[in-house]
Amino acid sequence: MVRIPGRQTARDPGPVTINSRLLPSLLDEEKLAARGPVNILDFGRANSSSLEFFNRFPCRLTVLDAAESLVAWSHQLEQRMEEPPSQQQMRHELAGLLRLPHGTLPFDVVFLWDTLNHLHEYALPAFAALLRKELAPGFKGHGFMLHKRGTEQRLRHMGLAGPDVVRVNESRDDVLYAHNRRVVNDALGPALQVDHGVLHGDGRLEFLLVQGRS
Amino acid sequence: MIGAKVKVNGDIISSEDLLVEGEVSGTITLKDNELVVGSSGRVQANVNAKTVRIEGEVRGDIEGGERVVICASGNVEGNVTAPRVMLEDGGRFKGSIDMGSSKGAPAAKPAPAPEVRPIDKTA
Repeated sequence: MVRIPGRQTARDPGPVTINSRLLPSLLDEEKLAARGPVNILDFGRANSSSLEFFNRFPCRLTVLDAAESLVAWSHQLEQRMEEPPSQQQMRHELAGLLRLPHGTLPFDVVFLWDTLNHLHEYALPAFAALLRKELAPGFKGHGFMLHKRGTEQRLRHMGLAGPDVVRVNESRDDVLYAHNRRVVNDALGPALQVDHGVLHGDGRLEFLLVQGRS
Repeated sequence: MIGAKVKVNGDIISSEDLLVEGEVSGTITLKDNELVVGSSGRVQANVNAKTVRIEGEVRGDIEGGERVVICASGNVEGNVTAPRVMLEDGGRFKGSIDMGSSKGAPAAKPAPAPEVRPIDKTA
């Protein structure tokens, strides 16, 4: 069972900022400006501070606003686990849910936010297969991973407040899916790899996602 | 202005500013002017205007010559191209945004001839 009941609080603490040591490796403004239009995939909800940041250099930003629909889909998947769908079926369902743009350039930068914890463990390989088809060689991804039992579980909507600051714009209680790093790396397959990780005080692991060796 | 009880199917080409409070399906082209989709406005159209301000709902691709603003009450699903894109807190957006260039927006699709009729209040 991958659902781990965590400590929960009812109130929304309002906007909270998180300092990041990993974001600057994705968001070096000089490098981004120099490389020409950057293709960015954001699994989160569109927000003013992220847009303000990305307005500084030429880029294409694709916003999926996927958190709530992925959590709802994963909760439904739990009800189907007596006869679980195939990985191919889940890829098909996730593709329909995410509606990733087709025929566009692959993505250079990916903001996953808490997406891995919105997905049931069984669906992680299907998600990874879908994602890796959309990524440019040498892409970089960023996200958070809820992996410790007892960590507060909240569905968070986040954005960028600067090149090294994440802002949690909204959050609410929900049941998420905690995965440890080994499970995630196995699910991602050889083409994707969780690279650097920084453990934060709230028990979440901030990570970079990079191209694997194969 | 396209009032709250007006429904338009077709292409709108204007050299004046336009406020949409009703429903529009098709395309809207205001090359040198401002388009405002008011809070009751519902647009299913590809849009091309100098500036675009969205307080209502837009489903379609938006090209802004100068800027596109999605207000707190706005809801946009589509691709946006503009040198400057602003989103007020509370505004919703799903799709792609090309920033820093007004080029490369998808071409507007041809639409049927214009048809203007009031919306049936009982509908």
